[in-house]
Amino acid sequence: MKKLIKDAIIYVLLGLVIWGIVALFSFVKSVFVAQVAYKAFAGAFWIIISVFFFIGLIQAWITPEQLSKYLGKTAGWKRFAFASTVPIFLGGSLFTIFPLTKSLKEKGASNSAILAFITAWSGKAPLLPLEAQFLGWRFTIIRTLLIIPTAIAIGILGEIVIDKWQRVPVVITANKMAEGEILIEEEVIKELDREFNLRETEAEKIFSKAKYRVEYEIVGDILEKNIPVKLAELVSGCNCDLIKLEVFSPSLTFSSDGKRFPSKAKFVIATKGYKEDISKHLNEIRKLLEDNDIRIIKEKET
Amino acid sequence: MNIGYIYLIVAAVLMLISFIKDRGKTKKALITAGKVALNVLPVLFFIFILMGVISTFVTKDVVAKLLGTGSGILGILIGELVGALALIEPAAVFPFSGSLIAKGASYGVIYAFASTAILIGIATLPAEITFMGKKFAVVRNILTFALVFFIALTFRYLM
Repeated sequence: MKKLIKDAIIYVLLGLVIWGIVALFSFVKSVFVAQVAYKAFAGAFWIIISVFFFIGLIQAWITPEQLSKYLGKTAGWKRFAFASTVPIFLGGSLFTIFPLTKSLKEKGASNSAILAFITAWSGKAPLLPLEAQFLGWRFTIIRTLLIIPTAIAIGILGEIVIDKWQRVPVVITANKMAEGEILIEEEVIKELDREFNLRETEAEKIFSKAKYRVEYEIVGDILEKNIPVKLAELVSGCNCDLIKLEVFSPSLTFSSDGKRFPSKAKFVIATKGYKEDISKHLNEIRKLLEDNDIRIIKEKET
Repeated sequence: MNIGYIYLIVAAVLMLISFIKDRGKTKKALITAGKVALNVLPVLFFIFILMGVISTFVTKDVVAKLLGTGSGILGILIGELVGALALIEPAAVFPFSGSLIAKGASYGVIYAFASTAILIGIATLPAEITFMGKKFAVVRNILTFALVFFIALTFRYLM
């Protein structure tokens, strides 16, 4: 609130200073400036006021939490269609959108959906009356309609570029265990499954081309501690790939006696280089697993 | 009749419906509206004075030459760069653009300016990197810049 008032004072002062400078040089011109400013303001005053109400209403009725929940539940092209259209109706500035997209990402939304989301959000439906007042309806409608194909294009192209750059082909196949006994959210596993499985063929290619491969089998709270993502992040920095990651089952807690059974997973680290190149990274991986109480039950060169 | 009254009536009706459905949310909406007003009105004050200055001192020839239909690729690049660098509220983008149109700027250039002003921000880049990572931020900003450029090039065929 304090910052808001401070910013407000700065802008008003800045405006007055500019006007003052004009007045200093020519009084007649400063009157003209004031006239133009007043006319523009008076012409748009009620539009501006109603736009404030529109923004208020939208932010009260459509919360970011609702949106991200919805985005988390829908899948595939539906999610993409949603991400490239619905944000058009939102208000807010770039600063408010990134925390929201971060939580979307953590919930498993793909980069394409997030990129489309941010782009579509530039539609700014609550501001449409203001846009039409100053730029005309024709421009306003064309710009708003163009948002949809732009969001789709940026989503698709952006994901291709980011994927090529990150090189994290991971395959996760999580086998579901007896229903009702599973405490970990089933949705989480499904999300991982869908996002990563797309890259299966790519993983095969990398596996066959690699000069050096190490296979790991691990046991522990793998999904709960977000190990797949942590591993992928670690590996993206080195000259190797994390592939064929398979989580066999989520950790189970039986409701009857509270006993816990950790989950098991295996994955392969592959590199086009030589053993010496990645030995340092392998140590990092072992340390990461150790830090998270994950036990390595098998480590084998293949 | 001033078109602003129609919007005001729409806003009032929506507020009323909101009030009947959920008092708490309506209160939240009013508070948000107040905050946005406090945030945007001073910026608009500044922008309107700037509009006055532009219409008084900047001649039509200059704007038409730099940002008009004849300005081509250069005009679009100027529009995009200014939009990306400007620290400007989305609500202030449109009035400002309007004054440039009145001075002879082309709609393609204004499309470029408005799009990058909303979607690309030097000021928001650090926040984007913190939340989404460097790769994501770089890819998104460059891709947006490029795509807006191509759309702006063909924009006059749409208008």
